[in-house]
Amino acid sequence: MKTAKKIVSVLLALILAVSMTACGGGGSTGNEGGSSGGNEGGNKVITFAGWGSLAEKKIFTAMIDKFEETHPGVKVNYQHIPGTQEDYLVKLISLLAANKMPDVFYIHSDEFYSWVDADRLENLTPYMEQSELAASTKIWDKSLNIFRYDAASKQVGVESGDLYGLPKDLGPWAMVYNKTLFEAKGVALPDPKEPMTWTEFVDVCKQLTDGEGINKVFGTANYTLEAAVWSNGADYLSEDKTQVTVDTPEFAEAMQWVADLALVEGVSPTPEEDSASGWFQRWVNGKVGMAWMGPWDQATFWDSVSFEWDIMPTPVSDKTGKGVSWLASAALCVSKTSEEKQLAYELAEFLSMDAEAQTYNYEAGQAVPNIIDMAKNDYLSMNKAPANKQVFLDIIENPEKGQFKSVYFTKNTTWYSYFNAESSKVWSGEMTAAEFLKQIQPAMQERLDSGK
Amino acid sequence: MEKKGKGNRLKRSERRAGMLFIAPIYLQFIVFFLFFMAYSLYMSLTDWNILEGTQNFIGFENFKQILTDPLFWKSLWNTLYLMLGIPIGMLFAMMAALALNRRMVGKTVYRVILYLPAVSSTVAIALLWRWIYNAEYGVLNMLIEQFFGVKGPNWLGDPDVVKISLIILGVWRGMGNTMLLFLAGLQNIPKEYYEVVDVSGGNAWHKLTYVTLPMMSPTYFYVIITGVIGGLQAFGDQFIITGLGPEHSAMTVVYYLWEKGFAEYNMGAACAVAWVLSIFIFVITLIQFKTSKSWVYDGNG
Repeated sequence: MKTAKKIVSVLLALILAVSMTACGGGGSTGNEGGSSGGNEGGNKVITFAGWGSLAEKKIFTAMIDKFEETHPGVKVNYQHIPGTQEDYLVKLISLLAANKMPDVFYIHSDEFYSWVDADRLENLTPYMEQSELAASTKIWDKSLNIFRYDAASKQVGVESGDLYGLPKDLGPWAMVYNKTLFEAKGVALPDPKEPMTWTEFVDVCKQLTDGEGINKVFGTANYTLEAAVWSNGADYLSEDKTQVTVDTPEFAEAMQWVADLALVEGVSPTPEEDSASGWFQRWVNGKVGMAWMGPWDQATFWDSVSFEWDIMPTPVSDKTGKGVSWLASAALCVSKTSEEKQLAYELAEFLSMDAEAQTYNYEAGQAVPNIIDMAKNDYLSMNKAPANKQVFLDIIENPEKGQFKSVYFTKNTTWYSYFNAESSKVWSGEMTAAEFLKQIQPAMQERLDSGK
Repeated sequence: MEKKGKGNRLKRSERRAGMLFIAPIYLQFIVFFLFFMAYSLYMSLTDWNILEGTQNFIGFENFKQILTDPLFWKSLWNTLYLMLGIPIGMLFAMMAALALNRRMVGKTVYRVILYLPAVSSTVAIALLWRWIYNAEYGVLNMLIEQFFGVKGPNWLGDPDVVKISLIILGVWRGMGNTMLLFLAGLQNIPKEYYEVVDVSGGNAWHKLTYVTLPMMSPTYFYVIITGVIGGLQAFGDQFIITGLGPEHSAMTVVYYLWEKGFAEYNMGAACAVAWVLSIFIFVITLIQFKTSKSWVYDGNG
């Protein structure tokens, strides 16, 4: 009896322990998830999920209204998931686990590989081949190719592969400068065509940097590491994406250069200064000379920035003469389990290629249009900042000026997030870039290997 | 004979009714705990990938991987480090409880103020403390500079300081709750014991050290047990205020679990982390129970 009691109490304690931890992990199953396809009063209903700012939500609501107008009897249930892209993915996973996948949803290019490889996305090639809209609309090849996947070789971005997503947009990450500040300091404006070298860039930064404490004006902020690394002829991964190649002198040189902008030159906020006030806030307040932006920032800048601004070519490494920045995209995907695949495809296609929807999207300052003609004519001649929109187009069109981040090509992305979390050792000056990269390479390689 | 039979029948029907009454809790337990526990135990032995839908049995592979991952050990170390807040919090809560366990003006107001953090939303608190901790414009560093003339640390940006910041926040947050428990404990101490001290010629200090503090040991025990379990499951505050923290300095075990499950889609490994953590909690709690006999006053002598 006594032993039985003991066993029971031990068991109870164990259960207590487990049940308390079990709550920690998976408690976020959404129940507001929409039904996947179906009828509502004779109408066909499809669900569309996406993340993004409230401005983006407004635009997509309007675009969806237009879609419903052209498709009588169809109701689109738009689930706007607030928060970051990470929150969105957690939500999507919950919907997947609950068998409530939306019919159409975004997948960011960085996550595309895992989703297409897991066979969760519908092959859109057959739908596209039969579509008149797709046949008559010319969008960037690059924007389609990035969402192609060859199931046999398990590779993304293969031109011969099948299409598993339509581009929501192509997002070029470009350097932006505060024109008003340049003029106030009497610094010559960056040339719209001829990029600065790194030496020139640091020089200009020094001329712009001024003041102390809260009111300090910085020459630059948040210099994108990719833009430095690629420009300097280095890369995160080998050509075949199997080796982590951060431990090269070129990589170290680029990373150190970025770190020294804050640590040595004092022309960029240190991590401490950045945690006090983020670079974006500083930029919006007019306290940064040159920062970075994507087309999705245009609307915010039009509304809440009180100075004049324009974009400029990516600064080039003195050594290579190259200036490369990143390019990202989000796919509009159709769920493999959707019951209304044709309709779902039509919605994705409408959002991606319909001229009216695209016009609305670029006029609202959310994106560069997907349709090439529209981008090169209507968008370029739009009478709103930035004046030098060609820089965006260059990053999109010219592989020498823009490329996709390395995580796009790998299924497991933890090697990259691990690197980013640990890299503060360099930004804070605790380690030199060369030491750090040498030390972290094996851990990154291990993570990359474990993802296969 | 007849009598006994009747009694048996009565007993039987009473037992049946009794069973019926306690059935719901057992059913709930079996359906919502036992089943999912068994399920997660099984899943921790598989390569369950929630995105790919794989569920192959792989034995102890997940456990092997977790236990050899330096990041797991780092997150465990961080979690244990953060539990330093438990004794500190108890000390402050005890002082507050002693101060408020007297007749004084505005007692209720103080209690409410001290308890407020415990019932506030995590996000609101996170925003508030992010501002307090702000390295350049934060009120904390302003005070430090004012009084000590030195520049305060980068509370949330420096990997060596971030855990201390989280401990301070945790103490502030948990204090009200612990104080309430202590207050209840204080009011349970029989007056006679204090009278004994009076009779023996003892003073207030004697009352505190010979009666109050030792008599509170059951409450300490409860606070420590729940504090340790809660501490091992720390996630929300860290997640919202610091994220991973620089160099993973604020990554807790549950954060590690979350990353396995939702960033890598590897639910099998996430289940395995949950089990490692559970066993860890179980062992620690067991040790606490075993050693409690020597210091917890149970009223029987």
